[in-house]
Amino acid sequence: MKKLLLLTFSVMMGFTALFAQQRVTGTVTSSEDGAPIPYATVVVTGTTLTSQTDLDGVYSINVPAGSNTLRFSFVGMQMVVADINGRAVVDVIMSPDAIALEDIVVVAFGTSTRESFTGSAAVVSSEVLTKSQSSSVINALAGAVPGIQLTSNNGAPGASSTIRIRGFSSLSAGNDPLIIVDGAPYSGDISNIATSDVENITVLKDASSNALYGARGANGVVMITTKKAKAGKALVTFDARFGGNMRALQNYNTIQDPLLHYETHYVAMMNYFQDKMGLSIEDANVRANQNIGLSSSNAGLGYLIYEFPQGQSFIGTNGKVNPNATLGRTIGDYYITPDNWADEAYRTGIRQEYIMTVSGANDKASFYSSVAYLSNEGITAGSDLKRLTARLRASYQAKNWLKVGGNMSYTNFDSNYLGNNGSSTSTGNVWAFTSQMAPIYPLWIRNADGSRKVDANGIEMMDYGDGQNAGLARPFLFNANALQDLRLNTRNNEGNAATGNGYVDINFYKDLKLTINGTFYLDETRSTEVLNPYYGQFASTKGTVIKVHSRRFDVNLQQLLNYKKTFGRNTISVLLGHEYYNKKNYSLSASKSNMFSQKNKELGGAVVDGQSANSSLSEYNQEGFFGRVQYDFADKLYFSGSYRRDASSRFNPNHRWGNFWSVGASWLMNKESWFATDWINELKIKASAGQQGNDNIGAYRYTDLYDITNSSGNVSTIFSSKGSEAITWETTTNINAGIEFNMWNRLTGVVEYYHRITTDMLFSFPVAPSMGYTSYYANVGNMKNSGAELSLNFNAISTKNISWDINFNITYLKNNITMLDEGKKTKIAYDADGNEYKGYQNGSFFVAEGVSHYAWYLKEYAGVGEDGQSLWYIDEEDGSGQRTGTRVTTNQYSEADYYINNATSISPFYGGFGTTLNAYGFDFSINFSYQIGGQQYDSGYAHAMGSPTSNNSGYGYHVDVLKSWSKENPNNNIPRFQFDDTYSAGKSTRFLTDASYLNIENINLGYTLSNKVAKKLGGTSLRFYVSCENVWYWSQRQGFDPRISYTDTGSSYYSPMRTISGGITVKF
Amino acid sequence: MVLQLNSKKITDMKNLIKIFSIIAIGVFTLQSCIKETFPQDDSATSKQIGESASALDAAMSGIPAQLSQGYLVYGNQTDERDMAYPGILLGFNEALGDIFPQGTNPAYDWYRQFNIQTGLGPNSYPSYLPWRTFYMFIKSANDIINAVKQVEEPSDLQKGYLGMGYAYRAWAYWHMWNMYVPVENQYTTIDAKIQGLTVPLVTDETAETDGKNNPRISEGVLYDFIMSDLNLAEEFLATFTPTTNRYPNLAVVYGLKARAFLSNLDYANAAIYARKSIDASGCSPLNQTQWEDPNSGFCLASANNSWLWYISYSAEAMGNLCNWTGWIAGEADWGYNSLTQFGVNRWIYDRIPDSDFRKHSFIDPGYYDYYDYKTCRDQAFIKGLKPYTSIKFRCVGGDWENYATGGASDVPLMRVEEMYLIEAEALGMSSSINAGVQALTSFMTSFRDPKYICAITDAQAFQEEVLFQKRVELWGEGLAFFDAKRLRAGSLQSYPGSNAPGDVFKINAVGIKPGWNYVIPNNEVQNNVALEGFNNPDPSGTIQPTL
Repeated sequence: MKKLLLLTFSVMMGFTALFAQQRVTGTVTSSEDGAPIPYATVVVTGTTLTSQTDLDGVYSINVPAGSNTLRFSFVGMQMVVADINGRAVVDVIMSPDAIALEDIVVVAFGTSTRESFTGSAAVVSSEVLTKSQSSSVINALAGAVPGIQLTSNNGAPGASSTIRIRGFSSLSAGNDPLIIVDGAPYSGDISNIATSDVENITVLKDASSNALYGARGANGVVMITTKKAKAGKALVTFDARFGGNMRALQNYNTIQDPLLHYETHYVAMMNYFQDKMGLSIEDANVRANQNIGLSSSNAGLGYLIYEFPQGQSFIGTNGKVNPNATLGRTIGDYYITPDNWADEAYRTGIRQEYIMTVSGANDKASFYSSVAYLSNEGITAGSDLKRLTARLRASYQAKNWLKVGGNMSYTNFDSNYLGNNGSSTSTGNVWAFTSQMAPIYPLWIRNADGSRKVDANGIEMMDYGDGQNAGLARPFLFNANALQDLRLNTRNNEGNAATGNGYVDINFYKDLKLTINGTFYLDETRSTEVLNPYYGQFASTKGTVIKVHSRRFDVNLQQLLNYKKTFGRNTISVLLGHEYYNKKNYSLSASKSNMFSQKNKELGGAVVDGQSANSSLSEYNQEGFFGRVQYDFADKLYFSGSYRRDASSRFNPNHRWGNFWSVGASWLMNKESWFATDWINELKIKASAGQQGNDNIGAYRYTDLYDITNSSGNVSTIFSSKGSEAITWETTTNINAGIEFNMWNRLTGVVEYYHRITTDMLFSFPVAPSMGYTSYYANVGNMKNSGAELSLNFNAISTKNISWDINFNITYLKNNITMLDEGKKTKIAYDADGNEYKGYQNGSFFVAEGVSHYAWYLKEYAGVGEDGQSLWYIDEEDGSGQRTGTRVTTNQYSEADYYINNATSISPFYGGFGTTLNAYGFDFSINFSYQIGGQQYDSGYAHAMGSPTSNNSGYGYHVDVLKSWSKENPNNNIPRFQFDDTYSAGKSTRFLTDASYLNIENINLGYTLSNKVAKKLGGTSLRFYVSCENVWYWSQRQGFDPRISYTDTGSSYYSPMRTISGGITVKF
Repeated sequence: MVLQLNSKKITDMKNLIKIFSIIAIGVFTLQSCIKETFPQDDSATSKQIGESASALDAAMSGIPAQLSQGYLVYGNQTDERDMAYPGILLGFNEALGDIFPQGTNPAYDWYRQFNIQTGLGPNSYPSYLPWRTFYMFIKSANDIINAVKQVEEPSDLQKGYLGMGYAYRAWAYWHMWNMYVPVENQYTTIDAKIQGLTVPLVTDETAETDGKNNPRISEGVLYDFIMSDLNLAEEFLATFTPTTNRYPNLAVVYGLKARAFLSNLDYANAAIYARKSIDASGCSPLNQTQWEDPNSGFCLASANNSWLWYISYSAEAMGNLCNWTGWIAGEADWGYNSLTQFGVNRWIYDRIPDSDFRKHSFIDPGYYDYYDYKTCRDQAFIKGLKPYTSIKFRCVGGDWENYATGGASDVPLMRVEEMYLIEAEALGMSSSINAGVQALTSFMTSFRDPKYICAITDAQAFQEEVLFQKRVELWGEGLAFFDAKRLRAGSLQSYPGSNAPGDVFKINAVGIKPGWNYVIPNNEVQNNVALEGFNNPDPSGTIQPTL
C-alpha cells in the first residue's frame, strides 16, 4: 500500500510535473528581410534546456514551471530574450548584430576588425547602395562618405564618375584611385558590375590601409566587395523596379523668344555699323536690315524667319521688330519656322531593372547566385544600356584544413552611345546643339504648307544649315545636325565580360594559413559605327561602317601566407605575400564604305575598303612582394606595420622597383580600467603614416616614341613624343590621425586629420615647341594635400516601431604645391598684389610653389571702359620695360597680363548629409551632397555672353546680355554688345563663379508589409518603394554645374539624369 | 612561382618552420620575374629603333610622310587644319587674298582667318600650327643629320641622307625666315627691338636647356645658316641621287638656293641657280593636257615631268576632312571642299587672257559655254558651281566620292615653272629689264599663252608682272606669298564687283598685310624666356573692311 501510495504519488507528481511543464513553439525571423533563421539556438533561461530552429525557423521547446524567459541566439544576430507570459507561441524577430557586422573592415589582402584597424576607411553599405539607381555602383559614393569627391562630365547610362580621394596627388599622372573587386585589381568597366551584387564599398584613405597596394595605392583604394550568402535557410529575393530618366542639368537662362533674339542681335549689328564702319544711325539701320538674314561674314544671322509687309523694314530704328511681322516665312517651296532643339532631342528614358538572387549557407558551404537585367534608356535617342549580369559565388570547407571557393560573374552588355561629349564646337555633339542653338533656327525642313519634308529615302529632313533649307546657311554649327546624325548613325558597343576568381585556403597548422588566389577579368567588346550615306560628311562615301573589336584580359595571382598566434594577452599576426598582375589590351579595327544597306552593319555588306585596317596590343605588368605584421595587446592597443616592394613595366628597367611602407597604431581608451565615463561607450585614438606610389602615367614615357607610318609603301618612322629615362615612382607620404567615438550609444563619429605629400611628382613638363616637341614627363616637385574630415551618425529615435537616423559628413581640403625643381621655374608670374611666383603655366592654371594645383592664372577683368569695351589689367612698365608695380587697364585682350588668382577651382569644404526614418513599416530617406567655396570657370555662361563675330554667331544669348553697357546704360559691369568684339567675353576672371552647390542625391520612400500579410501573400517579406535620384541641385547660376570638372564647366556635356522609379522587393 | 604543397596535415613544428622559411625566401628572391614590355601597335621605342638595321632608312622615309601627315601636331583629330605642310600652303593662299570661299557659308573656310586678319593672335591655332609643324620637320631633319654624324665612315647612301637632311632643314628655315621676319606696315607697329629678327635657331647641336632661352636670330645670321646647309646639301647630293622626287635631289637644292638668293635680293645668283635647277632637273613645264587632266591634274606626280619635288598622301595617314584634296579640289565631294568651294579672287581671273589655258582652272562667270571644262563628274555639276570656283586640283583617278582613294594625292613642293619665273625676274633685276621680259615672254609663249605679249620697261612693273604670273601659275600652291611679301605687293579684296563672300573679306591691304608677319604662339613665348616681349604684333582686327 505504501508502494502504491508512493507510486500514485509519483505518478501524481509526474503528472503535476508534466502539467507544470509547458510546450512553447514559434518562429524566429530576421528583422532585416523577414526571412526565417534556421539553426538558431533557443535556451530556457536559467536551465540547460536547449532547442534549435529548423529550416523554416520554427522551434519548439518544453519550458519547466518557474521559467518564464527564452533566450534566442544566432551568429551575427543580437541576442533576444523573450518573456513567455503563458503564451504557447512565441515568435521572435532577431536583428543583425550591428556592431558585429560593422566590426569587419575589408582591408588589403584580408579583413580586419574595426577595433583593431589603425587606418582610415569609409564603408558604404549595401543599404545605401540599393538606394542609388546609377548603372555604375561608384556613383553611389557621392556625399556618402567623407574625403571623397565625385565629378562627372558624362551622365550617360553606364558612365562612371571621376573619383578623388582626399584631393589630388599628382599633376600629370592619373589621380584615379585603385579599384579592387573582391581582392583583385579591376581595370574593367565599373558599370559591368551589378549594384545589387555589391555587399559594400570600402574606401581606404590612409597609408596603413593602402600601403600594401604599394605602387598603385597613392590615390587611395576603392574596394568593392560582392555579396555572399549569409548563414541560414535558402533565401530567394526578387526585386523589380520601373521608372524614367529625365534631364537633371539646368539650362542657362538664355533668350527664348525669337523676336527678342533678333532685336538683341540687331543691337550688336547697329553698334558695329555705327562704331566700326562709321555709318549714321539711319544708314546703319538700312544695312542691318539688309544683312541680318545674310551670313555671319556680313554680321547677319543667316536666317530671317519673319514675314513682314513689302517695302517696310524688319527692324525699325527704335530697335523693335516691325509690329506687322509674323513668325514663319515662306520661301518658294519652303516654310521656315524655328524649333526648340532641346525639346526635339530629349526624351524620358525608360529604366527597368529586375534582380533575382538565391543564397544559402551552412557551416560547410555557402552559395550565392544572382541574375539581374537592366534596361536603361538615356535622355536622348541613341543612348542606352542593356545589361544582363549573373553571378555565382560559392565556398566549401572541404576538409578541416582546406577551404576552396570561387566567384564568377558574367555580363552581357549592349549599349548605344553619343559622340563628342563635351565639345561645344563639335558638330557631332548633340548637347552642343541643344544647349547653344539660338531660338531662331529650324530643326526640320518644311514644305510650304508647314509639313515636314521627306526625302527620297523616306527620311524626314532636318536642317543641316548648309543651304538645303531654302538656300539658308546657319552660321552656328553649320553643315551639321547632330540630332539627325543620332537617328541615322549607329554607335554601339556590345560584348561580354566575365570575371573569375578561385581560391584555396590551406591551414598548415592551427595558426598558419596559406591562401592562393587567382583572378581573371575578360572583356570582349565589339564596337560598330555606321555613318549614314544620306547626310553629313560621310554621305559621299555611300555609307561607312567601322568595326572595332577590343579584348581586355587581366590576370592577377596572389600567394598569401597568414600566421596568427595569441600569447596570453598578446596577439600577433603576420602576412607575407606575392602578387603578380598582367593586363593586356587587344584591338582590331577596319572600315569599309559603300554599304549595301544601312541595316547590314557588317564589313561584309560594304564594298570599298577604307584602308584603315589596324590592330594593336598593349601590355602592362606589375609585381610586388609584401609583408604585414599586426600586434595587439589586450584588445585595446593595436600596432601594424607593412612593407611592399613593387615593380611596374611603366618605367625603365633601371628605375622599375620601388619600396613602400606603413606603420599605424590605435588605442581603445574606453577599455582601460581608469576610463569610467559611462556616457562614452567607445573612444579610440589612432594614427598612421606611410608611403605609396603612383605609376599611372601611361606606357613608355621613359623613352622617345616614334610613329610607324606608311611613306609611299616604305616603312617610315616619325618622331612622336619625348621620353625621359629617369622617370620613376611618384611617391605619396600619407599621415593620418583621428578619433573614433560612440556616445550614449546614439552618436557615433570619426574625426580625422590627414596630410599627404607627393614627392617626385610626375609632370608633363612643357617645352618650347621649337624643340620639336611640346612636353615630356619628369619627376619634379612636391605637392601637399591636407585637411580634416568629420563624420557623424546620430540615432535620434530608436523604439520598437520608429527609428530615425541622421548622418552628416564634411571634409576640409587644402592643396598646395610645396616644391618645384629650379629647372622647371621657367616663368615669372604675379598675383594681383604684385607678389612674384616662379613656375610654369599649365593651361589656365599656374604651377608654382605656394599655390594650389588648380590656382587660376587668367587675365583679370577690370570692368567696362568709357566706350563700353571690356577692360583687363596690365602691368604698367616704365620706359626701360621694367614693371612699376602699378596696374593699369587695357581694352586690348591680347595685351592684358595674366595674374595668379587666389581662388582655386578646388572647393575647400565638401561632404554630404542625409536622414533615414523608419516608422510602422514605412521607410524614408533623403541624402544630399554639397560643396562650399572654390571658384569655377563658367564657360557655358561666357559663351552665351559673348558678342557675335564672323567666326562665331547664331548661338543663344544669355538674358544678361540685355543689361549690356550702352550710352543710355553706362553704369554696369557688362561690356557693350557689338558685332566683331572678338574678345568682349574673352577668358578672364569675369567668368569665375563660386563653385558651391547643394544637390539632393536621392530620396527613397518605401513600405514593408508586415510579416503576417506577407506570408498570406506567399512570401516572407514584401516591400514597395519609390526612389528618385539626382533630384535637384542649387548652384550660383542657373545652368552652371560645378560638378562637371575642376577645369571647365560647359553646357555641352551629357546631362546627369534624374531617375524616378517605383519598385517591389519580394523575399521567399 | 609554383608552390608544392604537402597535402598531409602538417603537425610538426619543424616542418612548419621549414615551409615558412622556404616560402619567405622564395617570395623575396623572385624580383626578376617582371617582364619588360614593348609597344605592339603603330609606335616604336627608341630602343627598338636602336636595334633596327634599317632605322635610318625608316627615319629618312619618315620625313616626306611627315610633311603630309594628317593631325601631325596634335597627334589626334583636334583641328582639321592640322594637316602638316599643305595646311601651311593653304594659309599662304588665304593670306595672299588670292582665294575666296564661294560656297553657301564662308565660315566653312576654316583658313579664312589668314585672309580676313582675325584670330591670328598668339593663342590661336593659326599661330600654333605653322610653328609647331615646321619645328617638327626641323627636329626630324636634325635627327637625320645627327645620326649620320655619329657614323665614322658613312656610306654614299648615308651621305645622301645627310645631304637631304640639310636640304630639308634649309627649306624649313627659309619658310620661317620669310614668314616671321616683321616687315613695316601701316597697320601694326613693329618695335625697334624686333626689327630684322626671324626665329630661334634649333640645330642638331641644340640642347634642351638651350631651348629655354633661345632668342630670335637676325635675318643675316639665318640666311648664312640656310646657305651653309644648302652648300652642304649640294656637296653630299652631288654623288647621290634619290630614287624618287619625293626626296630633294641636287636640282631641288639648286632651286632652294635660287629661292634663298631671291629672298636675299641677290638676283644675279638667283638667276644662275634657277637655271642650274632647270637644267639639272631635266623637267619641263606642264602642257595643257597635263594641266587639265581630270584624273591626274595637280594630284599625280607620275602624270607629268614638271615636279622637281613633291609629297604624297597615304590613305592610312589622313582623315576624311584633314587632307589637301578635300580642301582644295573643286570636284571632291568629301571634306570641306564641297562647302567652301575655293575660287580665285576675281581681279586675278579677269586679268588672265582667254588664250591662257590656265584660265580653265576656274569657272567662268558669264558664259558656261566659254569652254568645255574637263571634269570627272558631269557638265551639270560644272554648271552648278559658283563662278570663279577652282577645279585646278583634281581627285586622284577622278574618284570624287571616296576620300581614301581620291584623296591619296601628291602635292607639289617645287615645280620647274617656278624656276623659269625666278629666272625671269632675277635676270630682269640683275641683267636688264629687257632680258627679264624676254625670258618671261619665252616661258609664257612656249608653255602658257601663245599670244602673250609683255611691253614693260619699268623694273617695279616687271616684278609685279612676274608676281602676277606666279599668282596664276602657282594659284593654290601658296608660294607666291614669299614674293608678295618681298615686293610689299599688298592684297586687293574690296573693289566693285569683288567676289569676296561677305563684308569681313572686303579688306584691302597696302604694302604688307599685317598677318604676313606671322605671330609666334604663346606656348613658345612662355617656355622660351628669350622671346618674352619679342613677339610680332597681333594683326587681328587691325584692318577694317572697306565697303
